[in-house]
Amino acid sequence: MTAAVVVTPVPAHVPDHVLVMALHGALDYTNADRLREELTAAVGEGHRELLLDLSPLDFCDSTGIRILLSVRRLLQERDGGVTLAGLNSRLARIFRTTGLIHAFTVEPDLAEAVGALNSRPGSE
Amino acid sequence: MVDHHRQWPITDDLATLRDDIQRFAGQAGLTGARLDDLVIAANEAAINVLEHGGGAGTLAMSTDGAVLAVEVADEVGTLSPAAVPGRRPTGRSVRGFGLWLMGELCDSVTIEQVPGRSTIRLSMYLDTGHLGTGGPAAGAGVAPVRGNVRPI
Repeated sequence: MTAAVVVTPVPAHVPDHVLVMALHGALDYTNADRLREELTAAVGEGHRELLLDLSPLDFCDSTGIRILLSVRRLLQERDGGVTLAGLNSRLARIFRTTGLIHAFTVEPDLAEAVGALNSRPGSE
Repeated sequence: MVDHHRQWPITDDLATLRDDIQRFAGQAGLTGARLDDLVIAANEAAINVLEHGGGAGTLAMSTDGAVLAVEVADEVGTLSPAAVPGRRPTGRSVRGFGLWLMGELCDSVTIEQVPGRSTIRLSMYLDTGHLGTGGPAAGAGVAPVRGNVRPI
């Protein structure tokens, strides 16, 4: 069974420029390119902030982190960024070891991430 | 009875390979964060084979009770021992990045290169009491091989 990563929209009360999605399964070398396309399409032209709930994601390797970095680069051009919520211990380990955890805003869970995005200046 | 040696082909089914690695390492006595570290590192080594090592190879695991070893061999042999970076790569060189990550996560990483095959060997000490003392070879006498008690 090849690893599968599934992206699903998450209903959340956030400003229009924020897109909230959840990643399920395992993000690795075999599916990272497809995920990049899906995330880029979902972000579209209208969003500048992406909040990803990673609590249903079991595994992410260096290829997966590169995909998330490329989406971050896209949103940085719009003065936005990527927030990651709900990393399990294994995900936190790879993000910390690589030092790439600093490239993202990291929140313990989805509710706190939504609260933080809503309380930012200019989020009306 | 625990198997002391297993090997699997490296294919694009990395999820199943990770399950096999996790099962073997768990049976060998690796737990918690160090088990996670080995799975992450071995997955990076397998990616290396798929991306740069000709797309085919094998992953073998073995243990003598003191050390758990993962050997990842490709079928092209272009990866050289000098490829392991000493510092975190800053560019987009993915190969260097994966190798650097393996070095951070495992107790030792070595590369053996012979014509037509490069092998990355990842090692984890099963008795973490050796850490910080220079490994099993440090100190007097022979390192305990089996039957040592580990806190769970």
